[in-house]
Amino acid sequence: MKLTWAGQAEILRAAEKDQQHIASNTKDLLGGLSNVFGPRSIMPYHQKITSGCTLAYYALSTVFDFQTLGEQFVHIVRCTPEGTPVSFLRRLLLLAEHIPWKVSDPDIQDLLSIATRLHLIHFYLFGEYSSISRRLARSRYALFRNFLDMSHLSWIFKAIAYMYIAKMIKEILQKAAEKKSIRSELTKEGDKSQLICAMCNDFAINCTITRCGHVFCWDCIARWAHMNRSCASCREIVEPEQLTRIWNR
Amino acid sequence: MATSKLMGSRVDQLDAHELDEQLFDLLKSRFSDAFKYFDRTNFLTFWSFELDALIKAALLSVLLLQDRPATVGQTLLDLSLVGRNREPLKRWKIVSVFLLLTGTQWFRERCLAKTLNLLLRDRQRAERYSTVTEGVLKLAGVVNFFVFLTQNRYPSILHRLFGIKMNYSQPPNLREVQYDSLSRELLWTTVSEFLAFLLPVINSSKSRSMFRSALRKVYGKVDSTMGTSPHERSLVDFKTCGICSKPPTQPHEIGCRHVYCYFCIASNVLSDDDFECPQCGRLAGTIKNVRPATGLQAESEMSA
Repeated sequence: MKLTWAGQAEILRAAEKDQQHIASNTKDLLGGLSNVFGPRSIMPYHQKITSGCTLAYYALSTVFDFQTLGEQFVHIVRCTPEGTPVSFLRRLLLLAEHIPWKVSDPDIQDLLSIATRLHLIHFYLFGEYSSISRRLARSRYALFRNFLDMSHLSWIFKAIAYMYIAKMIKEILQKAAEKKSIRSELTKEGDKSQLICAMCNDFAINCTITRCGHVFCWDCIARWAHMNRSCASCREIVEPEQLTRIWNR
Repeated sequence: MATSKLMGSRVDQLDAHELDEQLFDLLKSRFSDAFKYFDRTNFLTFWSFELDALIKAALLSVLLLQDRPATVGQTLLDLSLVGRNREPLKRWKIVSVFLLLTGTQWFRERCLAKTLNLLLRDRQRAERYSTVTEGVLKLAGVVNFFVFLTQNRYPSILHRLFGIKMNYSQPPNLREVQYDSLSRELLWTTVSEFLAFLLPVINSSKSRSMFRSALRKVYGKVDSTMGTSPHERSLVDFKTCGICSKPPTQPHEIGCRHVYCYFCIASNVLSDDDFECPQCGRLAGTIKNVRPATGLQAESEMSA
């Protein structure tokens, strides 16, 4: 039997529906608990109650081998790529994505976030597994009926994926560029004057004076002058071209 | 009357409730809109809970009137209420469900605190008890939801209490879900996010100078006849800044015959690595190449 696989649209809509139900029940749970025990005693456990409610929802639906409400809503079923049911241990593994893991090491955190983002791009492009834990558990979604196929919408997700890729590349380039930044070149090589800059309140570096006679660092007042046509100290109208660099120390 | 033996799917049972709520909100907002300008004495605000109960009663009256009891939301999803063993519901059950659905909210707001107050003769304790009851009801609702999730019956405490199930009144069609709005929304947020991150990346002065140099390549015949080294600088060059076209403040140069304000040339060179002279296209290089303009002294010495 040939299965028609669910696309990105169905999987995302199912997740959204699940989120709605979880959110409304979490709200009731928090409201009820704070009514019974008082809002102040609930506050410290707010985060734990919220994630506990999410976990309970997925445990009672996924692990007990029911459809979640979202899956039922869009008519998709969980199964392996071969079309067999997902085993109990694998369903337990599916639960892992809803546990709020705490990673203290920033390097591992970075690595994890990059991995999840790459995986998300892969999902938007090809739409197989919507999360890493689903990939590990080999749990895909098949459609109930072939006519429910929504693959004509996949171009939207492809476009999103390409934009994400562009964004990631840009961020990597930006990080590389930050290392050899030339922005502060002038400041580094600049000379200190005895006068105090009115903006950074330190000895003015590359001492610059406005038409009205106030003294600033070059960097401070130049940045200001790009946005305001006035002196930063007395609001006298100052054309940025008239800023005067003082050369004797 | 024949009802099908098929039990309603969980999501449909919950959605039916949601539909009812939305319908109620819609009617209520329409009602308050319509009477907004007649309500000078705050009559409607004062009686708002009674009004809510009335609107609910009007909506739920279909429960009593139909021979196959169902609210509007349930009818939309082809669901109808049946008893525990799929027998038709007894009349008293329908009536009490109708009364509870319409009256609970009103009772809680108007009578609960007062009744408790009368019973306990202690205002603070009465208020405390009423909030605790409310909380316990909410918690019971959540527990009921989780049980419902695994058992597929009794979506609310009320249904559990009276043993009311929901069946499809006819074999259900697979409902087609609309994904277009969700997908478009997702696309739109991504595009706007993308633009928000893209726009600051575009170096405005750089792109402007690139545009200018491209234009110069097409129309650049004026300056090519004249020399572009500092030695050929004339007094006229000292009169205008090559960037802002005003008399230059603190004249500086980058090695061609043009002269700029220090601010103009320094800010451009710092923000753009390959800044070119907008007049002749000479590459500025680093900030070190920006030197105070000489030549005027030489000329004045010559004349002297």
